[in-house]
Amino acid sequence: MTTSRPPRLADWLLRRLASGPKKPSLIGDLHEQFRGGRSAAWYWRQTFRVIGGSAAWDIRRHPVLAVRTLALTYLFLAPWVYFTGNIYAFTKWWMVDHVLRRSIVLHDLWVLDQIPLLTAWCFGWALTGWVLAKLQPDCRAGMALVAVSAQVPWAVLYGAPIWRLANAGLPFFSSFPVVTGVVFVMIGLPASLVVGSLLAEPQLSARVPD
Amino acid sequence: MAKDALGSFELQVLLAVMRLGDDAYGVPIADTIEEASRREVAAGSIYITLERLEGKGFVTSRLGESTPERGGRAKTYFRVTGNGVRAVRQAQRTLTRLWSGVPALHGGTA
Repeated sequence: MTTSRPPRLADWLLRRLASGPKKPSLIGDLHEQFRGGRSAAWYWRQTFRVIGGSAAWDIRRHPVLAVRTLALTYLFLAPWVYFTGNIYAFTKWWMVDHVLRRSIVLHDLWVLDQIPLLTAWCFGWALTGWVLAKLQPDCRAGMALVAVSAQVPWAVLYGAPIWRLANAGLPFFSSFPVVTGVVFVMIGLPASLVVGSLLAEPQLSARVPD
Repeated sequence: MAKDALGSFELQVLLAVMRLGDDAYGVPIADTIEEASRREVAAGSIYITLERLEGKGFVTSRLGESTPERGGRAKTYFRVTGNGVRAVRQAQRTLTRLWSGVPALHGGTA
């Protein structure tokens, strides 16, 4: 069964992540086919294929932009990691002495799981995604893919020792904060970057009013 | 692959555009290829292929009218150029020569 309006989320993703000078016509075609009787599942399939195709097309067509995105990603994130890491280190014991003394749960979240630091990192990654999308609004799927790929060395550097510790039979509770960190680094940070990139407003220059 | 050589999907798209004439935009192009191949075609692939063909000088495009069912977005119509027709003819000759040299394909349905 189909409704007259395509799935909103799919449409929202298409407007932000599809690329190419004929993007408005492509989205118009999908709307026309959907209103012609195609299903929501068909629309979602097309959406994912358009986004995947756009990402590959962006990188193939703009290799210099891809390299620039890679450089910008590190240029934004390296200072952010350095500064937030230092601020966290300087304030940690002050927080323990003055604020977190009465709650063991808060203490563990702050000191062992390093939630404030990881949250600040997520914010930094999201901001980076947003800035990159603003800089390259017409090929943000490809550039988001490049920026997310830039996380792979970090994730491997961070994840490999944890994998070894887990294999060495470290008890679950003592490794829990580390597992939290790995989840943040491998899933939370790339996801934050993509979300930040999606939050920047799209440009649909060739849209013709009804 | 040579720059002016046609890939399999490029050939399908060019043939669909030629068959449709003045009415060649994304939706009928996709329908024509789906009907012939009996497979779902990604709209994104069609546009990426058409952009590539436009870059090679095999098709031209122009912005057409918008309709309410398209959310107010204009259609982009495509037309095959003389170079495009020559490329299709060349591909046809090449494939015909290759087919005629394969005895297993003569009269068979497999």
